[in-house]
Amino acid sequence: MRVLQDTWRIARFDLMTLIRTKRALVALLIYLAGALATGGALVWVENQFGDKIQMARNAIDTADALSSIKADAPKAYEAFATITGGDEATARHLLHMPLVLLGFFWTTLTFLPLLIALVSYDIVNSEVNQRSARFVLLRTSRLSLLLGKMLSHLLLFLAVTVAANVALFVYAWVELPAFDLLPAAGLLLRFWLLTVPFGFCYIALAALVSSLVDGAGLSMAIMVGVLIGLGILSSSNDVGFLSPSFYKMMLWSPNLLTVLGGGLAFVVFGLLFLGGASARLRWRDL
Amino acid sequence: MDIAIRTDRLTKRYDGRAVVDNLTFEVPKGSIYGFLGPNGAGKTTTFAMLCGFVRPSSGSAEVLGQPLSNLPLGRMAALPQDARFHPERTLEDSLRFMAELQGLDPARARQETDRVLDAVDLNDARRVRGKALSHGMAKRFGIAQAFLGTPELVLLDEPTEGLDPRNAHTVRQTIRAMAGRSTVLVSSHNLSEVEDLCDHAAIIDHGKLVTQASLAELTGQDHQVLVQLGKAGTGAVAALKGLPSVGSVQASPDGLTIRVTLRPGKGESVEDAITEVVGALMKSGAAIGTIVRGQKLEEKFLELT
Repeated sequence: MRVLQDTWRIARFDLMTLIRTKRALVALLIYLAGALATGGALVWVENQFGDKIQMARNAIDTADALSSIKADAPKAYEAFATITGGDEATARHLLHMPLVLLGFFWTTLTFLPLLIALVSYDIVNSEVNQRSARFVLLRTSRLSLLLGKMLSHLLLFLAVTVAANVALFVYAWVELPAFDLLPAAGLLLRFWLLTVPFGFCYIALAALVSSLVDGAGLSMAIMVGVLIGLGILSSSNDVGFLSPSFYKMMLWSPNLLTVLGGGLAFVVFGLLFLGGASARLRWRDL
Repeated sequence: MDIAIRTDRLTKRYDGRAVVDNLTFEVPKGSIYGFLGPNGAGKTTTFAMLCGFVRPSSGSAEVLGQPLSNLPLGRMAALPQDARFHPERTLEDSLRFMAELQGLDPARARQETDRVLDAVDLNDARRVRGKALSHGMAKRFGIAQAFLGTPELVLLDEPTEGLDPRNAHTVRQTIRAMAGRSTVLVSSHNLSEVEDLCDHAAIIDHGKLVTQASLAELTGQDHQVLVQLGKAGTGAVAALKGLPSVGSVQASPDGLTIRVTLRPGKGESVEDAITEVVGALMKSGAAIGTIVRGQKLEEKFLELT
């Protein structure tokens, strides 16, 4: 109980500190810019090719449309297969969703880890280096400090994604006459909920790297390197499952259990990274 | 005697070199305990181990009856050396945060913040951010956070170093006011400050304990007097040597200072023995300049380190 209370107190204080150091603003601006750029491009695509997209949506349920796309336009099929992992059921499922929201969720899954690396790279070692951790650790445990810092960063990213989602949602609603408000809102909520385990996993990874490496700049470089490494690892047929990136595709699935499985995979990876960071912090001198 | 801190062969090695070496000492509960040693003696590392920041290489310690692996967080406070607080947060925010972490409810945390800011004369700077603090202000902030609530144990590493005389005086007054209520472990280079504040002290050198005792014992207040003569003479030493309440007599090479070790007889107090010494000196015709009970802590420190 005490651990949870202290975690919340630390998270609250740290979140305010993040806001005052303008990191929150930088994260928000980067994310908003990315969201609006993606949204803008996709709104343009929907406006330009809305009829064709609608025809494809109608056709895909009645015919073996994907197979014909595969035969007639192999490059387009390849691009779609990359996004959907080559799963036709997923492809059918996704084609029924607004392109704008799909694009935004894809952007989140692709760039949120990088944004976390840029904002949370010193999540632990900044406290250790300036020894401010000492004032806190006279009053609470190392685990509470770690959890509190992670929670504050998770809340920051969730707030940033909400802000970006809302901005994009309003933009799409204004710009697209066929934008169906209620189903889109439900979809947006679902995507946002999936961002929680996904963000947790990568914040825990940042915490692990920042616990292992003392220099702030070095921990950022290593974090970016690890993300690239995990991306490459996920494409391996044999050991791809060892990378969290491998489970991203499960979040797109039409099958709820598969989606939950994907979310669970991110939670498990997050817990493993958290365990590593906690063990390192527990045994090191501060 | 209740013990607030007990260490048993506490050792910390860096790269095979022992910075703290088999350190065993005890701090009585309620005492103001001086922790002395030259630069690099291992004081700060010992503090860091007692606060749980640094893990001992071997040995053990108990703080308020609990081992280092399970420190009584919230019941102890410390002024760690070189620790800085968040550059972007104000003193007030930081202190309230720490008070709440210490288990105080928000209203009490606000009260305590006001109290400690007042105690270290930082009330006007409450909205100053960490990055704008001068060295002295940062030090006083560190002391303020150590005085939040009513910790049972406070560890202060060089609390008055770098402070101007007025602020140093304020800090000493605050420490003095804690006597009896809390146990305070103070490390300092300022020996007259330790002499003034502390009732017990330990001296360490090269990571090892040199001595630990009450300040009265350390400075010999209960068994020693220092006599300063106006002019040298052998008669004074001879007159003292024969006295039953005198253990030993040691004169300086110039013969102007005589250190007398007292050995009061049964039923006799130290004061009785001093009276006897003064009587014998007067009888011998010695020109007494001053008589000081015990020796300066500084002298003892230099003698031992």
